[in-house]
Amino acid sequence: MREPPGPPDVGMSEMGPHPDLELSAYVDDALDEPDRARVADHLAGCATCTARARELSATAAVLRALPDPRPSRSLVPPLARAPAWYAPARLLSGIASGVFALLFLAAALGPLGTPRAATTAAAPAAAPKDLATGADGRAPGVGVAASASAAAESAQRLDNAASASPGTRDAQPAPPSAFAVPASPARASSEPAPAGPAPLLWLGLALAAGAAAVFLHVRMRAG
Amino acid sequence: MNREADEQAELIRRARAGDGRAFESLARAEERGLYRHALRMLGTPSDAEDVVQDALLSAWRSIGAFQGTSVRAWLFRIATNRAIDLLRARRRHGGLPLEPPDDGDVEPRWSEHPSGDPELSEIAAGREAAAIVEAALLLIPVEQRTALLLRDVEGFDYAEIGRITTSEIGTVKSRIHRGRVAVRNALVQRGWKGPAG
Repeated sequence: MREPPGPPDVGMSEMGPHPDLELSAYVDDALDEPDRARVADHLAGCATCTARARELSATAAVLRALPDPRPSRSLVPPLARAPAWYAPARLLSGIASGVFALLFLAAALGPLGTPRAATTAAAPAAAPKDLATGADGRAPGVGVAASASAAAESAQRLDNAASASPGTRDAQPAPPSAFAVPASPARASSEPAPAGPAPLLWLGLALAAGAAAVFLHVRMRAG
Repeated sequence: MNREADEQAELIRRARAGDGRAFESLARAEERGLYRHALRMLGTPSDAEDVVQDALLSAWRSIGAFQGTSVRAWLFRIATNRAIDLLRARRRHGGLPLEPPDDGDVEPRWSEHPSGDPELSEIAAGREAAAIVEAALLLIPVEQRTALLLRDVEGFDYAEIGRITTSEIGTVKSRIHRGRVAVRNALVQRGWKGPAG
């Protein structure tokens, strides 16, 4: 089992000088063909060099089998950083999203949500002037673009109000209106305000700002 | 294989054009091996981490000058030089004992196998062998250690090791052989009786 003690480090055998310095290159197959053939011929007749070559090969195997350590942290420098404006933009987007969300809640649940109810009753007094000057029929105080149907409905109410008002009728007789219906003073004040686009607008803005904040956050993390 | 080579060539091209993400991809593929190599050269994890991080940053700064095709060999060259610089700095400041000199063409001494029991022929396969080998690596000259690690642990061929260490092939052969004999001697002195059969 055990190999005999090795020969002197520089020595000769019956096969010629021991190719000691070439043994590792031989087992690594890193010798030119003439040298490889010469060493192979020597090994065929030299048990000592054959044993050494086998030990060198086994030593290389032990080195290859060493444990594979892991670093405790990433060693790759973060080079692809996000642009410098990402961080403040993310902060502003987050704040804006919160503000818009609050405005949405206020508009949907609070006074901002029922601006028409407060202004509808006052509309008949102001509306004739708007009509006479060709205004777009938008009720004051709504603030956000009114829909075409809301404008038409407002004009219809104003037609009714004008026909019910003697002063106005005397000054400028109302033209026949296709929307004319019997006047009902109670209707102008008790009509529920149609849902305006304002709450939805705030909600949309809140969602957009929130999405922008999330997008920027993800990009920064990825960078 | 060709596809991987093409992908790496594309990453190299992009990195040289200043694409940090492309360089990160290249570096991340070698991070583990670089750390393993630096740790075995230096012996301390924190130094190995610092060396690799420094080497990768240096590589990024000089990627525009990279002309070769093997980023791996190039990164190992930078990390090896950084590790050797650190070892020299340690020695200057007295942090390390003097290493044995690299003996050039002097043939290595082969330790004789110890006689007697217990039978330890399987030591090389065990956990104990790893500790013996790692301790032995830190005792051999750094030039031999570097060449041996690049060959037996990282799998570079002799020509690549010559380029990484800026050495002639003959010098590489000699360093690998003497380093390997030194590790073998360390194992033998702990009872290893060589490979079975």
